[in-house]
Amino acid sequence: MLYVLKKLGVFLLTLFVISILVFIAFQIIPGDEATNILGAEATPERLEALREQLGLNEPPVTRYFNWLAGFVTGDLGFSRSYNMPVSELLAGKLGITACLTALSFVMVILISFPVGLLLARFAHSVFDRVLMLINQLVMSLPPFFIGIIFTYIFGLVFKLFTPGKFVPLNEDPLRFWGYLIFPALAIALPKSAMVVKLFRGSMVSQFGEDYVRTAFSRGNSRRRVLMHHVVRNALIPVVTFLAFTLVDIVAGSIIIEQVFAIPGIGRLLLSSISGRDLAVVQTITMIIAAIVIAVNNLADLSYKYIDPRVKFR
Amino acid sequence: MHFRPTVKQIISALLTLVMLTALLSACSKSSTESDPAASGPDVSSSVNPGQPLMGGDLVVALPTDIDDPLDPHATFSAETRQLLFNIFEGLVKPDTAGNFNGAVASSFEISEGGDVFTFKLRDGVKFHNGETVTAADVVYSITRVAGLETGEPLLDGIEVVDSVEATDEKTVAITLSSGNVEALALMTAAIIPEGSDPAQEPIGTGPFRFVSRSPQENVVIEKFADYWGTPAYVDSVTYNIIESAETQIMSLMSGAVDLVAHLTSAQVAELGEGFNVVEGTMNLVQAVYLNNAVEPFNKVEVRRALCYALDKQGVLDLLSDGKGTLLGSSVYPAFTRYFREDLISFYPHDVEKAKQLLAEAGYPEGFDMTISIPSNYTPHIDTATIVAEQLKEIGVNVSIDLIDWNSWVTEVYGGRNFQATLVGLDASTLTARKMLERFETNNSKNFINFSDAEYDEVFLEASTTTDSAQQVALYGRLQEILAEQAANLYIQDLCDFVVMQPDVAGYEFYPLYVMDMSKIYFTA
Amino acid sequence: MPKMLNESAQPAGEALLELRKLRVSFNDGRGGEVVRGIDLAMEEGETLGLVGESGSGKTVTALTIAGLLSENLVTVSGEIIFGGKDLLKCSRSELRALQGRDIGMIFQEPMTSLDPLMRIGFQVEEPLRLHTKLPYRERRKKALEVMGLVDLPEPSETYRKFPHQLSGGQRQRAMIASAFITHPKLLILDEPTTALDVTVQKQILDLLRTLNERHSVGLLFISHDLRVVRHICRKVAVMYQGEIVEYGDTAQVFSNPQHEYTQRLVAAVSAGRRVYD
Repeated sequence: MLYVLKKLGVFLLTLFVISILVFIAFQIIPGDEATNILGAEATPERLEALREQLGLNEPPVTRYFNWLAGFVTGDLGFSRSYNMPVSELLAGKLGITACLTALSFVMVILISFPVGLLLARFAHSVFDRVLMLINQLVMSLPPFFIGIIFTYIFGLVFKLFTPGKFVPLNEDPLRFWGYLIFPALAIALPKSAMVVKLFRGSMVSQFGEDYVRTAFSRGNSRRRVLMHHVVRNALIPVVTFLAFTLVDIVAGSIIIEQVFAIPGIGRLLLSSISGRDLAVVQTITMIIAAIVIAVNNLADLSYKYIDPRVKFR
Repeated sequence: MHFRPTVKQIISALLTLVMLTALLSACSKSSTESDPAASGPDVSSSVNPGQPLMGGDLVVALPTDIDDPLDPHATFSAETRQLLFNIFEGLVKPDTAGNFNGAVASSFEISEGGDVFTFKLRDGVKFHNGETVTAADVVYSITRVAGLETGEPLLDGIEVVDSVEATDEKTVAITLSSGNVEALALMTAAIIPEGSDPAQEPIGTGPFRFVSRSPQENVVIEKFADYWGTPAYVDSVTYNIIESAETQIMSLMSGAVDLVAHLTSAQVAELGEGFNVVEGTMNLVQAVYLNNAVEPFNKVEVRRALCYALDKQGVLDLLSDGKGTLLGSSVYPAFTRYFREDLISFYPHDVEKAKQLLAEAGYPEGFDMTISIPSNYTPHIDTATIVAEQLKEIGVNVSIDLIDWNSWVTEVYGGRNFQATLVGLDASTLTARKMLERFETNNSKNFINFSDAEYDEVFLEASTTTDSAQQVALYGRLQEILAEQAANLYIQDLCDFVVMQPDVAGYEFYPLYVMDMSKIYFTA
Repeated sequence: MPKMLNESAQPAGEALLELRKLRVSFNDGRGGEVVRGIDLAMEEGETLGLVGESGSGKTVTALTIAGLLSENLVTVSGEIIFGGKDLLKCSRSELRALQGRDIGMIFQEPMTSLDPLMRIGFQVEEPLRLHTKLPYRERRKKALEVMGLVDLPEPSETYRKFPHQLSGGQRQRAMIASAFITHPKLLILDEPTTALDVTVQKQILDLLRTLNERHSVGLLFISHDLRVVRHICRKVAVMYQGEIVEYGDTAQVFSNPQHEYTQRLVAAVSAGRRVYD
């Protein structure tokens, strides 16, 4: 019980601190929402009038707590730019980015685990060396670049999807996921390469351990040693890394959404920052922060599942 | 595996899952309207190739999102305005030549003093909600936009409207505070139903009606069957928001969009053959705008030196294969009546002369300067790079400072906190006055801090005259002064390429930043 | 050529294990041969000690017999005859069939020699999983049996524990259980008690002796500690710099060491306290 309360407390505290930081950032950078709404040609008087109306002239502390009060009661704010409540603005987009991110994450695991296992099994062979070289290359490719190449090759040349023509889920679930495959892959590939390197390295180093020798002495083949003993031991650093990777994927999706014209929250976040729409930025930041914390918690939990030596603090 | 969880662990796992689920709305929720299925209309075999067809659903790529309320009286974003052009109309409407023709009004008269406009309403003009336009609607609209009741005029320039009155069911008189040759441009303000609020529900009289908007995704408009004028060809237009230029191009190549505007010559070259390309201009004045109040630009010799050092044609050659229209002052060529082509060569490219002037001004070794540019405008950034190279020849070292749009508006344009900036300025209303008024000493938009006594005098005269011939002469003088005083480093009106699928045609350029969708059609 | 002094008995009957002219060298050129042509023989049920200091080649010999040195690492020549077959000529799968079933090995560091993430019971019964087709229930039964045999407390509870929950002595018992569960003919033990407390050492040694006496499993006991070897091995071979310099009954080698190295060893032991009786 105490454990749960503690985790919840840390969760809320972190969100609180982040919201303050975002708020402060908005005070520091030049420009505000009024400028975005009224445009460059607005007269100073009209700007002032709008600022009064939006409550932008009140002291920062007041404004922050007004926002906070609204946020915790479920009123996420109102987006002046789009003339709709933030919750409505985010609905749907959130789901799309979530689908993209989840798909990408699953791909990372589905690609890196088998490849990592394969390379560890045949470590130091020619096959292993060649693949590690390719791996290094893939790791350093920026998602934007991969995204453009994919769009060109798979969209225009092979016509596996239509670039620029995003398919909403409620229109055609199959084509929706089909459209997301290549953007998810563009994000997943460099991350998979990193996981492969880490996972393989972890397994290879495990092979030098004493218990591996014991396992061989019992008559295990190399494959069995790998699958029944080494994998589990090698997973621990990988789990940590995967938690970071998920956060990275969320960040990567922002760029990829631009390239593939996917209406997710990534693009919305960027345009809201440049439009100084505080309510939207706060909400999206909170969401991303919450996901990061939740994922890290899950990672912690999974350690206990994998490694019985870890105590439940 | 080998793990039997305790109660504690189960609860915390559930908690984490709850946290996650609470944050992820169902993947199945999506606020998009589905895209129109097929693009082009059905073609029957008896139609000749190249002939315009009725029908079809057009898909257009937009580079920025429409994140404004869809209020034609209050919207300030050029992108939104150009979209609303298809939905709303005013008493008059501009055509591709820049003339104002009757729209909601069938005819009009201007008084001798140029201060009273009397409009006769056209018969049978319907709003998108089916109601017929009456004088009351006109009165409501003009009152609203001119802020006659609120004291807050919404559109720039509309403050000159003093009152509006319906003299009978089909006649409306608008009185200005003073006569104004260019005031007709103000009469393009949208006519909306009495009592309506376009931000909630955009209802106009234009050839298209508003259907839906999905933020960051698309805006959909469809043909209005009861339009008073020449009906549009296509059944609907879907504007897809695609920010990345590469993605726009690939969407064209994949057939996902039918039309993309404002491409550069390099991007057009990338597309290769097989597309319908038309060329126009952006209708703006691109220049290095110099802050006349800070050193070293407070010295006219320095500004002139930079003008001589600038090789405008060289910039165009490098930037866009020579395409674009050179400028010598703050009016662009679409204003055919006012544009002073002769000023382009006011400062011929002369590096020696430039160096000499700099030395005279006290900067024989040259100096350092910073050009601030909003980071989202690649053509301006590219231009600045070329200009920087050219200025190196006279010892001027340019560093380019990229800042985000909002910061630019606040710091540079509003706060005048800059040394030089490179942007393109346009006229939101089709008046040359808009281009020139900012250089009047006390104008709130005089961000370059230009001040010239003669300019102020001439401008005052030009704004009060009702003689259009005289106005041409006066506007001409204003442009001359700007050139003589080297207020800015004028460069060009950028070329604007619109690319369409081979079965799409009909695009016509306006002297304004608008895309008239009613003229576009699919061909057989 | 090793000097076979104190030759009390030639192996009578068929030998359990026979090393003939065994040579081992490391492929990375680490200064020549580590095992320089040794001959050795063991009978069924015999307890043979292999003694020497570090670097003498005794551990490498043990690992070579157990088949745990990959051919990338070492070059081996000679013969290792076990159960009528030359292990050096066996295929990998043939070797694997022997490993854990007929030849078991117990290592020095019980903490690191057990998989930290696998339950004790699963590790004990792993050889059965690999070499028999017994269903899980049977395997578990046998595992509990052998765990009782090695004096692990509360076998059914210990079955589900992880290595870090056991003491050093208990872990070593678990290792022995795991190696013994298939009733191998030969158990190779590489310094099995060196890392343990003195009192625990005695317990483990007694356990091993019991296993040997009751179940006739051959013990090849590698150690640098003559005292420990004396406690449990009837025969002893002394290795020095890759060669066997002395071989014979333990008692005799102790009382009458022939080679000067052996003499030094024995002298060192006698000078120390007598720990065991």
